[in-house]
Amino acid sequence: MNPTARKSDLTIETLAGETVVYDTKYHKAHCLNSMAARVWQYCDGTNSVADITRRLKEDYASADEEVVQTALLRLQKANLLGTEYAVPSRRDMAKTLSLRAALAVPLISSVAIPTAAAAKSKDKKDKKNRTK
Amino acid sequence: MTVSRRAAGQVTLVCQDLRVGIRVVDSPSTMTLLSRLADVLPGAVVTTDAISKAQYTVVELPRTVRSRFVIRSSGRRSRRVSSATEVVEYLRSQLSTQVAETARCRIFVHAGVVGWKGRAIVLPGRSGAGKTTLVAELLRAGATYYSDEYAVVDEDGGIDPFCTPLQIRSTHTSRKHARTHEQFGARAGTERIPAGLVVFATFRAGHAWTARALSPGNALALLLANTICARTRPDAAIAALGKTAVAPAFIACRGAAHEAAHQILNLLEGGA
Repeated sequence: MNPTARKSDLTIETLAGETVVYDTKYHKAHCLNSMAARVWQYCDGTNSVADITRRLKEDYASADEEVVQTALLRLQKANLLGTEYAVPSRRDMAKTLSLRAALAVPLISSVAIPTAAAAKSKDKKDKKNRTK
Repeated sequence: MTVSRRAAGQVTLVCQDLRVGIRVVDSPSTMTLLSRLADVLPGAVVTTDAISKAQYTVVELPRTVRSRFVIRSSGRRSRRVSSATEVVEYLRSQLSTQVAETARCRIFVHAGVVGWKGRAIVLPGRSGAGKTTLVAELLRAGATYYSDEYAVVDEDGGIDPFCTPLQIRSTHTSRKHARTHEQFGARAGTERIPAGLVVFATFRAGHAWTARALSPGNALALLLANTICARTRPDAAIAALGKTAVAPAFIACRGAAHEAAHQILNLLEGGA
């Protein structure tokens, strides 16, 4: 089955070549660099990994299938792919991935978004003085 | 415990999109102090007109009781404090959070903010990250005070002043003490200014200053993690903060606040 980008429960913003995705289901914000974002864009369910690799090479000459697999692994880890697509496991990939592919910058950084209550300034004295 | 119901009064506090009724039972002095909320909560108006349903009720017990002020709030646990001043400070803290949660036209980000040559230095961080210490040091260096609690961001990414008293934490007791910006020789900002620099700084005792530049996308993601309404209004938060995040942004680790303030000002001047 071809990889498909998850589209539901997401708010997406493009900023200076990067794509910021807010996941309203898991309450995480992800920043995809341009290469990771391009792979995600190509995950429309019709493109195979080979198709994505070919299209990505048009944008990035250094891209190859290893780079695409790395991007897919990172996208899946960030819950940005449909669950039906099975990306090779990290262990399987570690056997074949070169260091170059691992570092070939399809980067995704993620940060958890706390609730308003958790984000608010905490006051230890406040907690101590609470009574039932 | 039986509480006298004489001398009860009620005020309504209006701030941004928040409207809250506060009822005071048997404490004329507290009633008078509540009018001070308008001075310590930016943009707030306290009125005895147009009464709203009381969300907070303040009860004063006999003077023989040590923590004789009981603050009851709907849906939350009660809080007991020993003076009317502490009542006001507690309500200020609670209400500023509610203002941040309910504001429809502004995005509130947990951050210290100062102005420098018409641009805002935004220092996002949770409680205990040392942002107030850094704000105080920047004020001593000549910056204009905007907030030590929230960066109030409008839809174009500009920063409004939200000049609450600085809550300086004692190094020995962790207890906070309110200080005004005037005590640091600073003046308060009155106008909206654009973001000039965003620094996500963490404190580590004895650590030399280190800073790494952040891309706008990463800066936006980290700003969202400090944004009160990120979960409830992600579209509005991303739209507004996306414009703030285009300012140069850094993630830093700092030791002494004096050195950090100097480095931050260098970053701003260098990015001009």
